[in-house]
Amino acid sequence: MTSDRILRHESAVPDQFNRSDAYRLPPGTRTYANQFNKIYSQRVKKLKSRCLKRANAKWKRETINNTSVVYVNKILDIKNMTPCYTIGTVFMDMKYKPNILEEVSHNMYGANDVQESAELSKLDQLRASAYSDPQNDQVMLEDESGRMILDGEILDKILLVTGAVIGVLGMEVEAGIFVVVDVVYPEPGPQVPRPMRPEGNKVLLLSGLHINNQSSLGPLEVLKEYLMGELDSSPETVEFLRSITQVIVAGNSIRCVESADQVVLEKDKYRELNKSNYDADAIKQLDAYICELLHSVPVTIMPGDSDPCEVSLPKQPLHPSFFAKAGSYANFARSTNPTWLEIDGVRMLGTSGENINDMFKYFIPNIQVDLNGEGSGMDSPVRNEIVNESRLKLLEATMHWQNVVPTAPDTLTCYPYDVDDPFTLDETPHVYFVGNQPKFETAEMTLHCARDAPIHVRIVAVPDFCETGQMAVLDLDSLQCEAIKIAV
Amino acid sequence: MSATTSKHAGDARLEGPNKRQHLDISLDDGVGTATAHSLPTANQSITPHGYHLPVHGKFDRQKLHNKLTGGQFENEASTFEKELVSMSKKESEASFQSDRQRWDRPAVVGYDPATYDVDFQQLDAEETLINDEAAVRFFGVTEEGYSVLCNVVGFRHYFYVPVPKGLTQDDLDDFHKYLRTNYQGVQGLEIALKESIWGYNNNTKLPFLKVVVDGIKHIGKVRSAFERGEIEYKGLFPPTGSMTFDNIQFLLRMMVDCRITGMGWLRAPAGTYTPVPPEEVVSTCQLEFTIHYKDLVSHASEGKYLNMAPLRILSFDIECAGRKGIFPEAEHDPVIQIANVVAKAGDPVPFVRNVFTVKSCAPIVGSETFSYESEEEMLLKWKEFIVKVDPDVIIGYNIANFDFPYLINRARALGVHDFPYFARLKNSKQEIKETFFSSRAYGSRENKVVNIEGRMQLDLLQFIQREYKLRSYTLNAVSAHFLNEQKEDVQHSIITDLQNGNQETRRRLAVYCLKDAYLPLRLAEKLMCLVNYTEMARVTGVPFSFLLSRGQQIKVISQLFRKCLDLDIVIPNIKSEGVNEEYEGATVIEPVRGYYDVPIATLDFASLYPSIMMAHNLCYTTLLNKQTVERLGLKQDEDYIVTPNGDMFVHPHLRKGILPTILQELLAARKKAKQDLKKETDPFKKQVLNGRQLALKISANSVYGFTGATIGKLPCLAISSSVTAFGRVMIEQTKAEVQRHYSIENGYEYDAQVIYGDTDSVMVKFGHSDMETCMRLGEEAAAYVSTKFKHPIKLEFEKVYFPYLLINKKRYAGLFWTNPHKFDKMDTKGIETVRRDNCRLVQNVITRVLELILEERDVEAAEQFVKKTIADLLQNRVDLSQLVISKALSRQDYAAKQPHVELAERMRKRDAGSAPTLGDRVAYVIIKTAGDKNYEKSEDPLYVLENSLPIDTKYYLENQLANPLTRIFEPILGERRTKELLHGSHTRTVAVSAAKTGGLMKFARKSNTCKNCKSPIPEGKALCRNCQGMAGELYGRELAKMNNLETKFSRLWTECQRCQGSLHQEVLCSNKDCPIFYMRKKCQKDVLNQAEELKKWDAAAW
Repeated sequence: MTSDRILRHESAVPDQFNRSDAYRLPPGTRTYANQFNKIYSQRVKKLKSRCLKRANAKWKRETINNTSVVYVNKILDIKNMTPCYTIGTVFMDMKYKPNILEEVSHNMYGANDVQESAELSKLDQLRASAYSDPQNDQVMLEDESGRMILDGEILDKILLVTGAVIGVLGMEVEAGIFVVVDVVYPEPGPQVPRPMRPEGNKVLLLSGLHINNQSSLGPLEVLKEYLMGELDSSPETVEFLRSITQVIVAGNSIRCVESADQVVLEKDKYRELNKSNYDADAIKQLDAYICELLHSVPVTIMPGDSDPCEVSLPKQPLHPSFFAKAGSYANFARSTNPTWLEIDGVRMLGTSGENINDMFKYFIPNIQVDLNGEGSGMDSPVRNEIVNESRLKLLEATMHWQNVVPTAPDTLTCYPYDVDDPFTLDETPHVYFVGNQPKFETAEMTLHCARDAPIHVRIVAVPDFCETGQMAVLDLDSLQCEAIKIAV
Repeated sequence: MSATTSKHAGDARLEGPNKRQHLDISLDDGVGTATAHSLPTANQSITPHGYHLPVHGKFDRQKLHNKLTGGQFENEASTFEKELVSMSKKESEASFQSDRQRWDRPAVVGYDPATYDVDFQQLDAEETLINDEAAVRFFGVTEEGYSVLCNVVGFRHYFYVPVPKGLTQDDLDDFHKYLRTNYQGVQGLEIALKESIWGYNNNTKLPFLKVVVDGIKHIGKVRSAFERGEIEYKGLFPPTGSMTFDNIQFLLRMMVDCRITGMGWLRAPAGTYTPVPPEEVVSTCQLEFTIHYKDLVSHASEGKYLNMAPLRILSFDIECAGRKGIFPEAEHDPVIQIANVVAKAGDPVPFVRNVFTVKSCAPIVGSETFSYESEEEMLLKWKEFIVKVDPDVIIGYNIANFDFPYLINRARALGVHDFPYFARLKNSKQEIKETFFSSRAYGSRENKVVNIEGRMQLDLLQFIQREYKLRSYTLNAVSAHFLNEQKEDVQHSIITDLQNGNQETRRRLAVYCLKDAYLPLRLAEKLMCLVNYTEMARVTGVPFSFLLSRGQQIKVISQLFRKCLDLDIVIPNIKSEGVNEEYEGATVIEPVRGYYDVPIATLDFASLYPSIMMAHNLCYTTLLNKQTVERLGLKQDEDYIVTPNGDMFVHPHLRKGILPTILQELLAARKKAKQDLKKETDPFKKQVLNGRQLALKISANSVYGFTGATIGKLPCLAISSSVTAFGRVMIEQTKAEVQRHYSIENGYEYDAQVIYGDTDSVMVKFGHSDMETCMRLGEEAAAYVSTKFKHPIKLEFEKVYFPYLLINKKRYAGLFWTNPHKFDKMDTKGIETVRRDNCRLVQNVITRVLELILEERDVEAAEQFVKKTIADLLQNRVDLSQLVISKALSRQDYAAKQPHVELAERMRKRDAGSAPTLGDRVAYVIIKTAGDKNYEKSEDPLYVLENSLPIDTKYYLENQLANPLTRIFEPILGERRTKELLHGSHTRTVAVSAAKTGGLMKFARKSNTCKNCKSPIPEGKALCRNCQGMAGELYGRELAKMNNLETKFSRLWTECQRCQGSLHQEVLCSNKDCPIFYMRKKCQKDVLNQAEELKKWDAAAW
């Protein structure tokens, strides 16, 4: 039993605010009656005018080849060789996107799914499901009326994935091919004003605990002891620890190594098998671990890819029964993923990383693509390097596009919303964090507006704790962020 | 044409061996092999080839690094200036690109009859009258792309009659006069020395009367006058009639005599032809002239004359706005769109792409749209377009039986009288003729034919039905098969709605229409229809159009006449008796059934039947009868051979047969073509040569069939029965020789055993287990046995099967090896996975089982797989599309009640709008019902999904899976274990979905039960008290199921979005052939149900 040596500060956390239920799908409201086209329509509906606002501000008086550019409302109405700008949704046509049609027609769908994915390590999986083949990928822009291929050197410099709504300036040089010379993104949603009363509070951002009954709990125990002030009782440390008023666990708390479901039971071997993330022991350990933290500090837990929850986004809070012990604490919260949080007046938007990890696959070459003669194998050094590339620009991109999960539903599973696209932002957060990233990164980014003053957002890539031993601490006043590393 | 896609279906038929992984369509050019969904390019355009897609560099790590770390989001267009420059550059390149598409042919330059040799490829030929005299019209295209109409005059038709005893040279003038006064059209009479093809006659030529008659109209009458004995000239002609010789249609006669072949190049030398004066021109051709047949030069198809003229190939498709539930009828339902693409032969990018629409249509990138207010106007404009673009070949899918007749009938119904004039002949009206085509090789078929003079027609549906055996012949299925692409399909009930919408919905329709017009072009290119048929026309000499409209015989006849002309042989006009006399066919060595785990060598006779005919000099001209033998005093074996069938043929030293000569030439030509093919580097010439060697092979093989065709021009069972008799003897002899020679007695390690043999091959088990030895022995044995037979009969060692599963006669499977290191493919024969009244499940299971057994050599895994699949089936986890059976609704008057007919009737009662109509394919599954008759149990798969009707899994197990599985497993596992496979413990758990309608369901009340033990519990709970302890794990399981469904749901529907090429538009596709069509519907239901299930757990606690 740990004793709490730290008299912790408390942060102001409202029970309810206008975004707290943004990603909740109350039971019984889901109909699955729609196709996915509605999400895209909603997205365009929300973002087109915001995009146009910036496009007009930037390009209205622009000329190309001495011709004034015009705004064309529908892609279909673009005339050949006429400089213009238009707004639409990006679609990436990529050979290596998962293709269920091909799998089904080759009778591979669901074949050895269960076994294989369990055997692959996380990074392997990431690599195996990369989508890109830079030589063949095509970038397209579409709206309700039609679609065109984008071309131009600028495409080598900017990041684009399916689902981003952007404005492009350029002209159609050949039937169906539009050369882009400049791009705008939607006007950011407003930020709520932040109360200026320095409290000195901090939030600990944590992800990828990957608890299971085979892993060593060593680093986690060290983390806990550190947080409780049992490792270092120097005044600075204690003061620092006191200021941590909230722990946010951003997904992947559990890793299911080999669940009972995958062991083919002799007497029941013909029943349906699905990949399950449920592991009673691991859940019990997680519950106990969190419970211990709760003695000292409030904890919010978000569901992630490897957790026993629904795969499709937005992910709903983990089942209350998983937290038999922790559930009874008032300072424990189960949140959705993505989720909006408000702490000391700071609005935070966070995900457990699926959005960024999926977007990343649009840029890394598929295993079958030859990397400049360096082979196409798993262990190609180039590929290893690529996997560890910075993700910060991807985080920035989602803010620019004002959409946290642009690649849903194209390559990420999400609920087929009817009259809403909750992933599109109406409000810009102060802090945006994404869990389960290969390394800790942070930056303050600036979002430009057509007329108003620019908006600043703190972005944080929260590292995978299990792999890196790192976590992030965010200062709620300065919005500065730094990493802490647990060395065992 | 989307409204009829379902009509494209042919009859149920067998498909070739399983093509899953070993699809092999020679000379793959890589088109369409990349992805299953068609690359959705700009604006849902029709063509991935039509554009110059942006080219990207290879992967560059630095570039990616910059992208992921650079300042690209600062929104400063820093490179703006540079871009502008490069854009202007592109502009100049693009300016001619974006011009309106050019339709007309290149203008004629340098056409001076005195100096200009017109060299042209002849495409279409027809008989005609010019100045009341029979003539032939050749339509063609020159190397420059000019269209040509060449009128050939002066040629007269003729036939032969043996000169009766007593008729002398002096009688000729008088007899001529007699004929002239009594019969119209007789123009000349001469005596020539000829010989009948029928029977050996000591090589003596006899005098024949050559009766020259003017053209098409009269020759028949004169001929039959002779044949019926109506000629009463000095009592010289027998009143019982005389045999006449050389009955062949005028066009072919002229082509044979002038040595013109179909699709060959002709030359009208300068100074010999006369251009038709403008006021008398009958065609729209750029060059129209008249020439005497003696001046016309025919080039042999070699060297530069192997080439193809720059033919213009038009592919088109129409859309009709039908009424709900009724197949479009030209009398009532308007044609609303016609899409066209035109390409030059050999050029994959069509230079014309457009759509003609009724009412406005939003533009489509890369294609032109021409919109008209009225249907009449559109039809007329389309006709003008055809005349202007002047296609040499018109292709499409089911155009012969649907699109053309529909357009013509529709124009008539609308009173657009100027419409049906789009042939090359200005005044020729296009009309529909019904033809009945019956052929032993292709079966019987009713066809509609529209005369479009000067333009070749190639209906891809007909072509594919002729050349390939497929499970389904819809355009969807065919493009999935050959191009590896699924195609979006719009249900015809939606077409009218789209048409009645706005210009955007009409545009959507136009895009489908364009795609349907473009696909035939790509299929034609991929399947090399034009090249292969061109070579066939050249080799056999018949006009191109005969290849689709006529059977096999005409090709042999054409070759026979060509050969006979050189040898002064005439062919008797034998009245077809129509007796279907059967003779004994090939032999099959009784198979020693079983699973062979040692290499089995296969020895094949190369071109068995042709080589028998050559070796033994079997021919009409060498056929002997007893009288002749006695008359000429011939000696058996020295002068003639008696075949195993008891027929007699003279040896070549007395007379070399004409059929063996033809065969020799064909095979020599094939050998040469194959050698040239090896040397050739030009890809187009390679295609041509490959097409040629194929044509030569087919031709050689069809000669035997010709002699055996009892309803034919010149049946001779003595030849065909002798051929098969020799074949049978040879197979048996081969077996005996191999077993005698390769025996322990002769110093070999094992006794070789012939385990099976069929027609022209024997399978030998040498007993050795290593591939090398087996292949060496195979080579050796082939050479050894060949010495026992007469040249050119040759036994070849071709391949080894290992392992080999011999199920029964004509039923086997094995891995096919031609080199000892790696197998080539899996080869299966007669394993009935591909019949269309089998569902897809059968095909997939059998294929996988064979792969496991043969490729992975893991019988246990195969057993496991079967058990798992059966368990999946019984527990309702098999995708519905796997269970769908489909049949064409062809006639209403089946004698017995048929599942699909009954279902169509029931569907009509339910909703007349969406019910299948005549000609549609009805897809159904078998469900559990109160009745037990199959026709009562068929149900619409969509209806089944919507109402959660229970599938009759037992039917699928027992009527679909059981037999083929038993056949495969019995030789391996034995009877008992095979039974276990089908009835073991894995079949105990059965899950049935509960119906929501019908029967007792109205009275049933659904009560809440424990998720685990099924005992009733209060509403809103998930588990009973006893099972509470397992709550977590059970919840995990439900969650896993949900996740599986959610992922599937998302992947399926996004795939459909990708396939349709739009994220923002709703997916309308109703392509029932698409493997995910039912899956996505089912998944939508399942995921909703599972969400409901999960809801119960939300409140639950444990």
